[in-house]
Parts: sequence; structure tokens; C-alpha cells
Amino acid sequence: MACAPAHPPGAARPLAPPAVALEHVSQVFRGTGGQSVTALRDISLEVAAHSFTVIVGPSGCGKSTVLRMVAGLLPIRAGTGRIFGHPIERPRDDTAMVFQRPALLPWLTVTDNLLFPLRHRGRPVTGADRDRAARMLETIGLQDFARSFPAELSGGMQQRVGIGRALLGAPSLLLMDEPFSALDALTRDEMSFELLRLRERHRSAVLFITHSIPEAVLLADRICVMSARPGTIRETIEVDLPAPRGPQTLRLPRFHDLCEHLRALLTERA
Amino acid sequence: MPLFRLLRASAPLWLPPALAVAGLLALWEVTARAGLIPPFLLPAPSAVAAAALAVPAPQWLGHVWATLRIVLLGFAAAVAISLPLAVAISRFALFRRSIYPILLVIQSTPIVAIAPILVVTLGAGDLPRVVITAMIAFFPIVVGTSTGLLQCPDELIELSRSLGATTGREYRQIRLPYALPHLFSALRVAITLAVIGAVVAEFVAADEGVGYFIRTSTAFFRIPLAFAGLALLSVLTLALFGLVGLVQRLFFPHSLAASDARRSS
Ligand SMILES: Nc1ncnc2c1ncn2[C@@H]1O[C@H](COP(=O)(O)OP(=O)(O)OP(=O)(O)O)[C@@H](O)[C@H]1O
Ligand SMILES: [Mg+2]
Repeated sequence: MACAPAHPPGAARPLAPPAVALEHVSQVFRGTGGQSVTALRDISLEVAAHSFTVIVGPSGCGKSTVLRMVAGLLPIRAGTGRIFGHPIERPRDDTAMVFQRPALLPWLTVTDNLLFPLRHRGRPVTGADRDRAARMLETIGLQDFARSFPAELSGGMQQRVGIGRALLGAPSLLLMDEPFSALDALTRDEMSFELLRLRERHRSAVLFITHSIPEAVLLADRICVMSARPGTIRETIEVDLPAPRGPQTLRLPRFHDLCEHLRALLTERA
Repeated sequence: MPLFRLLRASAPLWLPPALAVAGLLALWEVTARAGLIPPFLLPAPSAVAAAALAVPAPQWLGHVWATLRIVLLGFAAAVAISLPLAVAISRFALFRRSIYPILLVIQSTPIVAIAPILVVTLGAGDLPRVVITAMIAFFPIVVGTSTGLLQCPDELIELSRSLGATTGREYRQIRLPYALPHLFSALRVAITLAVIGAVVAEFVAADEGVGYFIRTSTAFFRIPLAFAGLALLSVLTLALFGLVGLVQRLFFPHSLAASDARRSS
């Protein structure tokens, strides 16, 4: 199914407010020893509705901090942050998070893990919810593991459950913090293609963190390159690769040019 | 060797420990009959059994029930005090730092020394015995449960926060289930301590119970009877220990699998 990219670069701006808008956000952490660490300095960042934005940057530059602020887990003290035009005050129901580790509950079956957000928010789980969970299991290719426990799944399968759990609530915004970093290279590619397929269906906006250059180029409509402490956004790259993305994207010369460009940006010392 | 292998492959799990106990009893019997140890110091198992059978069954049952009642009441009280305490300890760092020294003081007070005082202050009846039992059983539950609650992985807590859950739900649906293996390990230790607590209490002040029975038998130099009471206590402890495991297996089977996985990894 040929699906147009959400908002190809150069297309007219949507009237809807952007999924995420950070303006002049800074963050200073106070260490236990009394010294302070400026983790972020004057970050401005926009994720258009339905678009895929990737943040890359060296370790410790503040990527997770940005994500935790957007998720409402860390209050924004300097600057402003908005999701779909609303100030970020607390975690929102239309936002879902996928963590670096799958964060599954070991005592719940795969199905119950998928339904956990409902239960944890105190909503009753209806038959319709169970149907949706069953369909999600098929989507993530785990229909045979509905009653398995997480310990009985491979790392990649567990991560798929984590992603399925986030997608089940049909979030308008999906936040992903290095979701594939614990996987081997092959599984990682597979998971990327799967994520692209899933997203075509759900059309969520995505803010995605990775260390992997090819992963960033493959997935992103826009890449924000961050510099090391204090974290700032050094450059923004619009990725003009054709949709739909998939295994064939990896063979395009333009893909390799973009990877080279990104690698040069990341390795050059500021 | 082939016999050994056969035993290992096909024997039910209870067989090896049962054989070990039987062997020990046989050795003891032989030693006692050879006259190596005077019978008033260490009576033969057969003499102990004979003495035990001479006591009417209803009398035994009365003593066992008296002890069991104190053990269960004291254990229940210990659980009821420990769980909220463990939750508070894991939730508030300040509370944790201020309460721990107090808990340690209580734990390190010799129960034998404090038992007579408690009997004087709390008067006759079950209350002092229950309090003594609870005092000795609560510490491992508090420590084990609060450790389990605090060891919950950060990503599960972040998950809970990102779903906007209340602290109550965070505890009920994430932290407490995660702590179950720790809780049950602690309960197993605590139930054996509870038996000790009940017996200590009966030594100090009681007119029935297995501890009382052992004390009076010793006072009248009826050593085989004292040993019979002792054996009964061991059986009681084993049964209670097994009961805790059974409850875990029946009602929280997954906490068992999780603790096994963690042990083997
Ligand atoms: N809660 C905190 N308290 C104090 N300092 C913190 C805290 N969280 C993050 N930091 C500091 O902020 C900086 C950025 O951390 P962050 O986790 O956002 O980096 P990152 O870009 O996600 O790194 P990585 O790629 O290794 O995950 C680091 O220097 C870290 O030490
Ligand atoms: Mg990080």
C-alpha cells in the first residue's frame, strides 16, 4: 500500500498545531555534590503533526532529558514546551512512551502487558479492548504468544510488545528513547521496517532517539543533531527520501549521501 | 554408582532428605543402645517415641493448638505491622533513615530478656505471647519487603509515571507484585522465627503449649518427653514453612517462577 509521507518537506504547513514545540528550553541539574550540570541550553525543536523526528547526538548530551520533558516526567523550568498547542504539565493520555529496555511486567502475559496502560489508568478493560489487543498481537507478529510471559520471549519480541503496548492506545504522539539499542543489527533493521509499517497505519507523530546513523536516516522526516554538553541543537536535516521507506531505501545513493553527511556532522568537533 | 544415578533420576524430591533423616535417627538409636551416652542425657529415638505415645492424643493436640494459635496470631500481627511499614520505608527516604535505627534496636534486644518484662506489663492471657512472637517475626518481613519494593527497576516506575498513575496504583500494580518473591522469602524466615518466639513466650509464662510442655517435662527430669515435644516443634515448623510455600505456589505462582529465574541467572 503506497502511502504518502505524512508531511513531505516543502509541503504547506498544516493548520493543526505541531505535535511538539519546545522553545528556548534549558535544564540545569544539581549534582549531589552541590555542583551543577547544564544538561540543555536553549533548545528549540518542533515535531509537526504526523511527522517523524529523530534526535541524534553524543552520549550524555541530553537527549533523554529532552524526551522526559516532552513526556511530562521532568518539569520544564526554563523555556516553554507545548504538545498539540497545550502546555506540558503532566504525562498526557494521548502520548505514549517506548523505553530503551522493554519495561514489561514479568508477571503478566503478553496480552495483559498490552492492556496494562488501561488498567494502570484505572479504566475498565472491555471486550473491545481485548479484540484490539488481539489485532495488535497480529500486527507485531506475536499472535502465537498471547499467553506467554515476557521471560519466554526473545529481546526483540519483548521490544515489539513494548512498542505494541504504546501503539495500542493509538497515541497522537509516540516518544521513543533508543528503543532498538539493545537489539542485534539484523533484528534492529527488521524492527525499523516494522515501525515504519505500523506508523503508516497509525499516523502518530514520533519523536525518536537513536545513536545509529543509518537508523536515523531511514526513519526520519527530520533529524535534529545535538552537540555535547551543554546540549544544544547544532543542525536540523530534512530527509528527502521517497516514501514509503523500506528495505529498498537502504540501497538508494541518496541514503548513503545523507548518512555520510550526518556522520561528518557528528564526528566534527565543535 | 548406577544405584545413585537411579536414585537421582527417578526418586521423588522428598526421598533424599527422608533417607538422610532416617539414617541420622538410626545412628542415634545405635549410639544410645550401645550405652555410649547416658539415657538421661540423650534418650534413644525409640524411648522418645514410646514416651510420646504414652501421652494421650487429646493432650498433645491441646498443647499443639495452644502453640499454633500464638504462632499464627503473632505472625499475622507481624505481617499486618510490617507491610505498611515497608511501604512507608520505601516511599519516604526521611522515614527510612529515622525508623531503621529504632527497628534495629528492637531487633537486637534479646527476646528472652524482654519477655518477662512484657508478661509483667501486658498481664496474663495471650497478649504478651502474641506480642513476643510478633516482635521476633516482624524484622525480616520489613527488611525483605522494603528491599523488594525499592529494587523495582527504574523503567517500570517511569512507565507508571508516564501513564499518569497514582502512587497507590504504582504500589498495587507494579511495586508490590515485583516485591512478592522478596516478601515470600521473608515470610518463610519469619514463620520459623514465630515458632521460636511462641516457645520462648511459653517458657516464660504459660499453662499450656508445646513450649510449656517441654519446660515442665525437663523440670521433672522426664527427658524423653521433652525430646518428644522438641520433635513435635520441628514437625510444626516444617509444616508451617511448607504452608507458606504452598500459599505462594497456589496464589502467586508467578512470583515463584520469577524468583527461580533470578536465582538461576
Ligand atoms: N536526574 C538527573 N540528575 C542529575 N543529572 C542528570 C540527571 N539526568 C541527567 N543528568 C545529566 O544530564 C546530562 C544529560 O543526560 P541524558 O540522560 O539526557 O543524556 P543522553 O543524551 O540521553 O545520553 P545517552 O545517549 O547516553 O542516553 C548528563 O550529563 C547527565 O549526567
Ligand atoms: Mg539517554
